[in-house]
This record gives sequence, C-alpha cells and structure tokens, in this order.
Amino acid sequence: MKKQLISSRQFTIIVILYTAGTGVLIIPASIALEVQQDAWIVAIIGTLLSLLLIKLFIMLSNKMADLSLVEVTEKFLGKFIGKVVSIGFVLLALFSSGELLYFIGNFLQTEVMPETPPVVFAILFCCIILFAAYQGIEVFARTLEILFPAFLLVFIIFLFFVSPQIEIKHVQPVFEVSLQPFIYSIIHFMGLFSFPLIVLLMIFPSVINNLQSGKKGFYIGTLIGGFIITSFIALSILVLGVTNTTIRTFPSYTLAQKISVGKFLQRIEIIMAFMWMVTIFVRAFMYYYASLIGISQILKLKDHRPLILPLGMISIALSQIVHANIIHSDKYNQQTWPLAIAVFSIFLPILLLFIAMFKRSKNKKKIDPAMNDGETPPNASP
Amino acid sequence: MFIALGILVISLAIVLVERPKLKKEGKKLVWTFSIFLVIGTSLNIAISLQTFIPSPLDAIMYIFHPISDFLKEALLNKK
Repeated sequence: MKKQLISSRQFTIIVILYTAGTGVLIIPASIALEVQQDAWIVAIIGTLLSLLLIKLFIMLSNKMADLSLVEVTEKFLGKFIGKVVSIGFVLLALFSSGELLYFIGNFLQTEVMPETPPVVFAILFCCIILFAAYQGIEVFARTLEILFPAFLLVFIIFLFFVSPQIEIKHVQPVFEVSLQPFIYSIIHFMGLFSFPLIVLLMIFPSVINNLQSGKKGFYIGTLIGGFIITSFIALSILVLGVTNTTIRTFPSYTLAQKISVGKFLQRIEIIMAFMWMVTIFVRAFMYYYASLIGISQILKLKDHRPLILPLGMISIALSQIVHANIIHSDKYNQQTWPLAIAVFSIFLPILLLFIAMFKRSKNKKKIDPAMNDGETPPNASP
Repeated sequence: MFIALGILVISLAIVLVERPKLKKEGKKLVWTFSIFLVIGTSLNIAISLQTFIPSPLDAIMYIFHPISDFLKEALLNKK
C-alpha cells in the first residue's frame, strides 16, 4: 500500500477540530456545576497547561522516528508488555469511538429529532467514518481543509450574534471558588480537552511531510482549539447564567437557540449544529482510525482495509451499550475518563522517554571501546 | 427477529465484499477479520433482541473507582 502523507497545515486543522471535539458539547454544563461562574478561568488555565503536555508529546515524538505509538510501545517495552499496553490503548480508543457515536445519537435525538431512535444516527454517522477510513488519512485531511473555513465562518457568525446578549453580572464575583474544586475541574477539563491528543501520536510523526512546522502546528492547533472551547464555556455562562448552564444537557445548543437578530433572524441553531457535527466527526474518526491502525500494527497485518467494516459493526454495537443513560455518561466522563486516558497520555510517554534515555546510554557503553566494565555480554550466561 | 436476520444478511454481504482481498492476504488477516465480524454480528443481534449487555466501561470504572472516589472526596467534598 502506498504511504499516505499529510501537510503540516492539514495536521494543524486536525488538531484544532480534534481538541474542540466533544468538549464544546458536553464540557460547559459539568464544569459550571463544579466551579460555577469561574469555569472560563478553568478553561484558560487548562489550555495553557496543555501546552506542557504537548511539549511532552513532542519530546516523545522525537524518539519515535517513523513509528506510531503502538509500534514504539512494543519496541521499548518489549514484546509481551508492549502488546498488553497497546491492546489497552486500542480498546480504550475503540470504546471512545462507540461513545462518540452515542453522543451524536443522543444529541440529535434530544434536541432535533425526538422520535427517531438514536441508533439510526449512529449508523448514518458510522457510515461516513467508515468511508473516510476506506479513503485513508490523506483524503480525510483534505476533506477537513474544505470543512474548516465553513466551520470558522459558522463559529464567527455564532460569536457575533450571541455576544449582544452578554450580561457581565453573570460572571461576577470572579475568583469566588476555592482551590480544591478548581484543581478538580482543571483535571476534568484537560481530561476531555488535551489528554486525548495522545491518540494523534498514532499518526503524528510518521505521516507528516514537514515535521518541523508540524510541531509548531501542534502548539498552534491546541491554542486555537482552546480558544474555541473557552469562548463556548464563557459565552454559555455570560449569556445563560450559571444555573441555566448547569441544568441543560447541551448548553451550547441552547445558546444557539438564543440567537435573535432584530426579531427576524431566529432559530438558526441547526445551522450552528454544523460545528458540533464537524468536530465530533473528526474526533470519532480519529479514535476509530487509531484503533484500526493499532490493531493492524499489533498483529503486524499488511493491509488494514478488510477490518474496517467488521470494526464498524462493533463500534455501532458499542454505541448502543456503552452508556445506559446520560447520568452514566456524565459520571464516566467526569470521574473515570480523565484518569483512564491519563494512564496513556502522561504515564506512558514519561515511561517511554525514560526507557529511551536508558537505552541510549546503554548503547553508548556498548559502542565505546574504552569502557571495559564487563567481560561477558549481559545475555551470554544461560 | 427480522432485524436479527437483516444483521446476518449485512454480515454476509461484508464477507462477500471483502472476499477477493482476503484471498490475497495471509491466514492471520482472515482469522482477525472473522473474529471481529463474529463479535460485531453477535453483539448487534443481541442488542436487537434486547438482551441485557453490561457496558464495557463499567469495568474501566471499576478499575479506577478507588482513585476517582478519592479525588472526588478530597477535592470536591462530595460523596
């Protein structure tokens, strides 16, 4: 199969839409519940802290050369442990892709078409993802290049039309919250916003054609994605108020319903829903693609394409069983998901970096003829 | 019942579509393909017959519940 490459600009767009992802839909309500009117501060600090995480990822990617995360895990941790860790990662990615299909089905059923069962939306959405997976990452990236200007246009229209209804008194008093809930919701925010970026390391160093500007794009994309998500959180609180934000399932959709220009331009929220469709598509595709590539790399298959349709069936099934109801989903996303993904996005990169450092110093010893510390090589004795 | 039959037909169609590719590749791919297809089909049929399937995320929640409960109590002062 021909190797597919994407440019650094396309990668930046992927990062922007990926980080904005599910966050714009599900973050504002739960964070406003934890820290009330200071949620926007959490978002800003979380975005800035995410840059440190990106630094970690890029340090890891320097060690990865042309491999993906799964291959590197197997190379550094050995065959057995590496495979176990990779299987955990792939399973988490596959469950998340099912979860995102659940989100889109739930969102459309709750807000747009209440009488259609959510599985219909999940199947339709999954068809797009499977088609994109068939075409490969290159076509996907080019599609986003077309979708991104439309996304930006809708986003700017949204900002302009919502901002007249801002009431500053909703965010006052500022810095009311104490430190503990603040730390908790920063973890919660970053768990949904930047920890999942580890999934992009499945494609990051190996399919980018210009690595240097790709690294810059990683930072810029995270900043822009953080700006998008911060503005959504801030606007929900500024316009709807804290109480109204916390009791809604999808506050940003309610925000779009509020748009009214001169009592003439009203109820354009379904056009605004384009933003959620695009971002959820990107995120669901990346999870799905990461699990697909991951499986084929764990099993060392030459062609991953025949696995696309069966995996699609599994993720449609998963979308029906992952969450029994919205309470289960909220609990999982608030309490468990940040920790589960932190295992792979914080501990795993640090561990891999340590091993890479250790390996390099060991290799140096072997090459250096002056160093004569052992007569027998370490693996010679039976 | 009809839905279950429909799912079976779909999985047969998937096999027919992918058959030329599967013939070319090795045994490993055929095995992986069939295992995933069987899992997917059986899960979907089980859902269509409305049997209770525990969520796989419950297992993840169970693994992490000591840490997540501790964090919630220590930082959010909530049970």
